[in-house]
Amino acid sequence: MTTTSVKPNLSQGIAGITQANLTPPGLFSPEFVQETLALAKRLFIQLQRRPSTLIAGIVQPLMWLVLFGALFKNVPQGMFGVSQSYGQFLCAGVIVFTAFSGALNAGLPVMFDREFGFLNRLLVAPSHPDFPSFWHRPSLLPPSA
Amino acid sequence: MSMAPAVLVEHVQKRYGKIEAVKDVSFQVETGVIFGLLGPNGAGKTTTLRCLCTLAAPDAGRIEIAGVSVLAQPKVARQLLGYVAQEVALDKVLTGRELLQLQAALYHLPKVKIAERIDSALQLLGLEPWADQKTGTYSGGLRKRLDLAAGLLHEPMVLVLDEPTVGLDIESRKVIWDFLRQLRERGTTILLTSHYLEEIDALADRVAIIDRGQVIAEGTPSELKDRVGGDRITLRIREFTPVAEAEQARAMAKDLPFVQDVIINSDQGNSLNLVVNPQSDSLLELQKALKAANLPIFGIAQSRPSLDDVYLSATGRTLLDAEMAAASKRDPKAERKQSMR
Repeated sequence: MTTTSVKPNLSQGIAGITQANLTPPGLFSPEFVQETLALAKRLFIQLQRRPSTLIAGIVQPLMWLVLFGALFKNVPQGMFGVSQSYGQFLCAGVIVFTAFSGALNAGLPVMFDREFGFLNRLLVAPSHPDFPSFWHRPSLLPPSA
Repeated sequence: MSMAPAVLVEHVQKRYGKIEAVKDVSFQVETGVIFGLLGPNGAGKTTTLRCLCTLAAPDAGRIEIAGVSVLAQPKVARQLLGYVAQEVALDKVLTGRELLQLQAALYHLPKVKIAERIDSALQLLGLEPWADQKTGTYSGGLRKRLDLAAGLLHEPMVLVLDEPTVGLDIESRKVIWDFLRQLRERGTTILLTSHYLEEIDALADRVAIIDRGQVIAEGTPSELKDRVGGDRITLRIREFTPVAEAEQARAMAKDLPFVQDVIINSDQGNSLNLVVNPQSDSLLELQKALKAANLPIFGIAQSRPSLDDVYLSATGRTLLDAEMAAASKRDPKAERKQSMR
């Protein structure tokens, strides 16, 4: 669904705007794609200029594999099941742990954005409600006590 | 579209748990003016703006931007608004230009116009030399200017500024003041909050004074000062005047024919703030009367009314006293906890 919005004509003031033109963008509209790509670009720039998270995400599972792999390499056979080696057993766990820590780290930027006020910049923008920040919208929060 | 005001706020209320941040705020902003919300910290200015900019949902009331209900059509209202928050929120690893590119995309500016708009905004605010440096290296004044540029990029009908010059040096403040005046000349409606009297006095076409979640006065700065009327005399009987002596002085002063009103300022050592008819010998006559009543004079001064006097006559305390009282009541730990919810 494609919609267009009219930017206000400052010389005319409010008279330059018609209600019909002020419709928000729909899902998968060009505007939705534009804002999604822009936010993704921001995350990639952060990744490029602050690569510690990426490095930690690669180094940490390697460390688990190498360290614990070496540590328990000579355990008695069958201790971790007869159908698999210790390496196979460990790899499955490392994959899950990597996914878990990756997801945890993915939430940290949103938390820092909220803490330092950047999230407000996203919330006051006319972005689509299905955008990931939607759950911060006041209308969707439970009524205050 | 009808001739709706640029901003309409009607009987807005907002409570955070036990704290009633906004009790009942109503005001209206016409197109192409600078409207100031003046009040001490904790008066409810920021909460009112947050409700206006769809960052918080009011418990009651009506808010409209150019006839568009902020509560019923928040996404539409956001297209008409530009919001510059009190705390500058920048991503330190992005350059100024990259931040503006992000902002342009969030507001769905046409790709062919983005570069031109960004260059224009950077030039307007004098940010060109620093545009391609990371925002983490910017000074406070540059950060604020970049924040302004981001708020203006999509040429909003209404620009909302929350304490735009707090923490800035005098030169940076002047730059921003001049810039806001230029924006007004171009037709942008500006709604700004401030606890700086001189800022509101210098910029605002109309002012609403907010205290404890309510609008206590509204009008042009001149109207508000004329409404209070008369000159001001600040009298200190002693450095710290006993209440009984202050009451005695008050009763004596009220009997004088040229005195309109006398307020005891308990936050300033029970000093007396008198409103007098603008006559040249008020000070002399008052001193004679005090001498006749055997009351000493620690300090005495006369001045024309200011917005602070408007606030004082409405609330019984000066803006500075109100801010100090609000600061002493604040619990940073509890606020931090609340903000993390």
